[in-house]
Amino acid sequence: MGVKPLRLGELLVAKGVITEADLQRTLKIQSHTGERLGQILIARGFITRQQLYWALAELWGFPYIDLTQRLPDPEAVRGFDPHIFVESHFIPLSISDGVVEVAVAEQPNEAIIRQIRSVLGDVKCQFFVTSDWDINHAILKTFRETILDLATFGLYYRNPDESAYSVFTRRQYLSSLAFLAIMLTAVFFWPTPTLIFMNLLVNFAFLASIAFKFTVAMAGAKYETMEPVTQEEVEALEEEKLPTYTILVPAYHEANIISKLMNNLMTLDYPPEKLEILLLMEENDEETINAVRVAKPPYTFTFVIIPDGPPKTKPKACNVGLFLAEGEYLVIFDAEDRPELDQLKKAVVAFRKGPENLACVQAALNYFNAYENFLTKMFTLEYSYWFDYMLPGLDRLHLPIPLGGTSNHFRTQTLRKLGGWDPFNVTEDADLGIRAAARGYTVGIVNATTYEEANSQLFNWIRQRSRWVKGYMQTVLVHFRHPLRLYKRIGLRSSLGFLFLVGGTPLTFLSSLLLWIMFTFWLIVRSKELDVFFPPGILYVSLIDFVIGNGVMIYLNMMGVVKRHYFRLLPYALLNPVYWILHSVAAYKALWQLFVRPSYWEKTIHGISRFTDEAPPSS
Amino acid sequence: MASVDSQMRRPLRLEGDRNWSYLLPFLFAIPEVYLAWASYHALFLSDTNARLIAKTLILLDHGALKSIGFFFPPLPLLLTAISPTPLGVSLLSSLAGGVALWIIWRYLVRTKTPVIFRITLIFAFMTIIPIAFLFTQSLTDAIELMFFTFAWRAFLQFFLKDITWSGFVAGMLLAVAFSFNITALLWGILFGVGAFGLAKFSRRVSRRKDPGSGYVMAMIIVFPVVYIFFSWCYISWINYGDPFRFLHNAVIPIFGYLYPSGQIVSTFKDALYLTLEVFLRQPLNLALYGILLLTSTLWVAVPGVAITGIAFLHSFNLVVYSEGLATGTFLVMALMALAPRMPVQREAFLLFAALFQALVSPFLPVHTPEINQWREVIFSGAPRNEDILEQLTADRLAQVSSGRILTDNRSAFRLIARAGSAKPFLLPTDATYAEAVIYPKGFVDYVLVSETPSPVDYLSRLYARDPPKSFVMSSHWPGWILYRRTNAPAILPEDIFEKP
Repeated sequence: MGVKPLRLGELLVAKGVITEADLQRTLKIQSHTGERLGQILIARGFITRQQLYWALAELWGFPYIDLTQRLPDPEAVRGFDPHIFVESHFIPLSISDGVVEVAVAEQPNEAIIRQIRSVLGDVKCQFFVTSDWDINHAILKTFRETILDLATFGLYYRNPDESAYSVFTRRQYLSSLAFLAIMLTAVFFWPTPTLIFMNLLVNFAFLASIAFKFTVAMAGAKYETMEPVTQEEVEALEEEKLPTYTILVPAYHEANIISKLMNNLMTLDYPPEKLEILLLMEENDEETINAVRVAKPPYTFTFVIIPDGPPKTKPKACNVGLFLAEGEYLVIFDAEDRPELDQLKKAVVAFRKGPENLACVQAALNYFNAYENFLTKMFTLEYSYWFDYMLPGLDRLHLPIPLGGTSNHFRTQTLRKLGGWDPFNVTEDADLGIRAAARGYTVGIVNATTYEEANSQLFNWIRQRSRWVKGYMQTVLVHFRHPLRLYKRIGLRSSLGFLFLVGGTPLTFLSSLLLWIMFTFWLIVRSKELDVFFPPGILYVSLIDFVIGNGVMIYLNMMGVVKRHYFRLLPYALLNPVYWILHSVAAYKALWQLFVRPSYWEKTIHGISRFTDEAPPSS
Repeated sequence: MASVDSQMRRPLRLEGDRNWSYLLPFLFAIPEVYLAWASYHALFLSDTNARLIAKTLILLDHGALKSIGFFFPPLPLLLTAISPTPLGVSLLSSLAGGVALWIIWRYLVRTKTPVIFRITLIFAFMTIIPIAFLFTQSLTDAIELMFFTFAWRAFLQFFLKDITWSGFVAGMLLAVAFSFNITALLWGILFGVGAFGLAKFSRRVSRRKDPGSGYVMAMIIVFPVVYIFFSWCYISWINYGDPFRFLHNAVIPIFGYLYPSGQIVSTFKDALYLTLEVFLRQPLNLALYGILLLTSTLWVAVPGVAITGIAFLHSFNLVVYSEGLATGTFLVMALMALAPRMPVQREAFLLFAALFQALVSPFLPVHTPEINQWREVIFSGAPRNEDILEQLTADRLAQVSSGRILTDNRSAFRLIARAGSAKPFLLPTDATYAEAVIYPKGFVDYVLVSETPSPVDYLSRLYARDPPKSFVMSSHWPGWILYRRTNAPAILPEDIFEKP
């Protein structure tokens, strides 16, 4: 009778890496979560990743190899789709005389051998054990250019029309020039009628945009008391059946908030062994990389170094993260985010309750430093109105939802099918929401909140806002390259909804400054010179825009205080016209950049708030 | 379908979705339409509707339609423009009444009361003379009551059930109502004060004990209507340089002293007595408030606020709040606050009160003379002599060439409304009016002056005693004098109208 081979836990106890008590605790957790023992041991901090794979190497009877010291030979990996290595946890290291050295982070099996032979022919495999981190490291190093290319141009290669790589297509460029030429000619020959016509267009667009926002916000308010996911449903979740969740955290120049980020993510109410947290850091951002190293994050955190290359944008980093992601679901959190603890579980319930074509659920965003200064107060009002009323309204009216910057939860496979994020679009989130709708998927909302840091400095705010407005412009230009096709895919209502929301926002910001200047000029000079451009019909619409429009938008912003009980913010809603002037300034900057630096990512500086250690105002 | 299934924590709808229920406003409007038709055939025309028709005709016939939105209240004028005739405006009032009754009906359905009970209550409500008058002869008040009904229900939902949407709806409805009737502003403020004072009853507050809830709730209600008021001030300021000019210039006079008939009370005490009288006069009203008093002490505040508010509106000649609107407001406040699933005894009591109301309604005293006149006309089915005379005069005046009759529409609005055209008249809106008043001979053939002119009718004051130069008195009938140029023919039949 042979000796019964040791199992992993027993081996680790025998080697004194863990105690028997640790093992028992881990086994107990395993019985609840159904997760692998090794994964639990790492996630709960009982052992290091290296200790696990050393033990596995011994158990499986193969030597251990450190891939940070030895990278694969390019000859050995040529012809492979690198994603196979991510999925199957192996990578060929070298090939010589019909023998392939293969590093594995899974017990070698027939499937791995079959995959190798399908590319390299009838070769003999010689296995080495390494950690999954090492495999990812090796993939990123070896396929650096391929991954960079995929992350940058993947969407463009798939369908250039869906990418903002070219802001204007040739046709858009020519038609814009033609329109401009016609308008200039008309202004030259028939100045008054032409300017009246332009005035008419602007005023009607304004009116339509206000009417649209009003309708959507009221639809959202009507269903304010409905909970897409209830607490009972969250409590009813069985941990064993919870899926693996990938959390992408793009961090660029965020060294000052890394430790807070880790605290926030580690307290999430989700089994840590089912979490895959990918910290996406730019190759040349040594400051953040060093800060992460110093912070010594738990082993559930994986560092992903994003290969340097233009454009240096968050969506490009996220695409690299998506390439490596193994979770069934995936979410993005920004480095300064404080998600509500049960957010992931609520998203899981939402996906399970939702239809098959539900690609994404968006959590609400709000600010923990709402009361810091004028800007944060206005920003909080805006966000509360947007996420608590506008997005639920869009959801209720079955209109496309432009995703918010973070806390959007995806089915990972669906996200891959959609082509990931567009790295050339600086509001890649909004673009993705519309692209999902155009491809027949739906986007929903979930009643959980992530608290972020509201921009508390004016120039920082304008940088951020100009990026958002520019991104909206890009998104409209991309999705309206083929208006008829868009109409056929998502229908007239959704097309118009998208146009009013994503297209109307920059347009209203751009035109409102002009209208305010005209109004102020008239108010001061009381000149009759402008009267000719306001025949009765336009005068009425213009008055409605000015008087009713401003009132309605202020009133809708007042909604923002209700749901979250930000009562002290209510008087600030009256100051919205001042805040909108800032939007207009940002919009003009965005318009300028659209032509000169379309894909330039205006980085928002985080960690500058005095309130970073305080609890969110509503809690 | 929505991406994520949703679960309701509490129902939001007053009743189930049934498309046919949207036909009910028309059904409820049928009795009012009949009364409108009967009033029309009896040649009855109220002052309110006459003012609307006259102003609309002036704007249409004098090429000033583009400025229709700058007259206060603008929305009744826009509605009247659909059909600027006595019947057309009456029918619009009836439809507004139908919608108001439908809203009440929808709420009563939610209270789970028996159908017969609901029908009786609605029927009793309709038989009340000042309300029936409102729903046929006062477009502005009928629409105000319609919006008030909706806003009041939304207001209750807002602060009792913590439904934000309802608060916003209440606020916005009052803002829209302001564009029909100035009194919506005061209701907005009263609602706001109520929300502030009653905030402790709000679930939102009791659940979270948030300081500031009351003021936020008040602001949500008050903001839209106050905003609209200031918007009008702004429009008035840019047009006339006076932010409050629109109040003095309103199509339906807002201030009591602008009413020539002098039926406005002038002290708070008198106004309070009058309002109490209106409150106590309708048996159904008393029964409803009695029931409310038994249900919850909260409702004790309701009539108090309403009485004070309406008295305030009456007093000091400040703002005119009609008897019909006052009666309707009291009843709507109580009806829309009835608790669901009342005990059978209370239902029976109310049923009895409603039947009693329906029986005695035609005979109950009415304070406003115009409503009394209307009741007499409707019951007799025959036109009054003064209406026949007024219609005849208007018909003759309508035949005069364009712009040949100099008059002031603020006094002559009834004649213009009955004439069906403002073309024959030279009016204050016309560019040559001021010159024509001084030197009529150079502009017109006839001058029509009132013996009981509006305080702002300068023309009538100028020529009430003596004719303009080169004019002679052509006809004289109660309240009016028509002068004609010496060489112009008489236009009114001498056998009916008194010769000079």
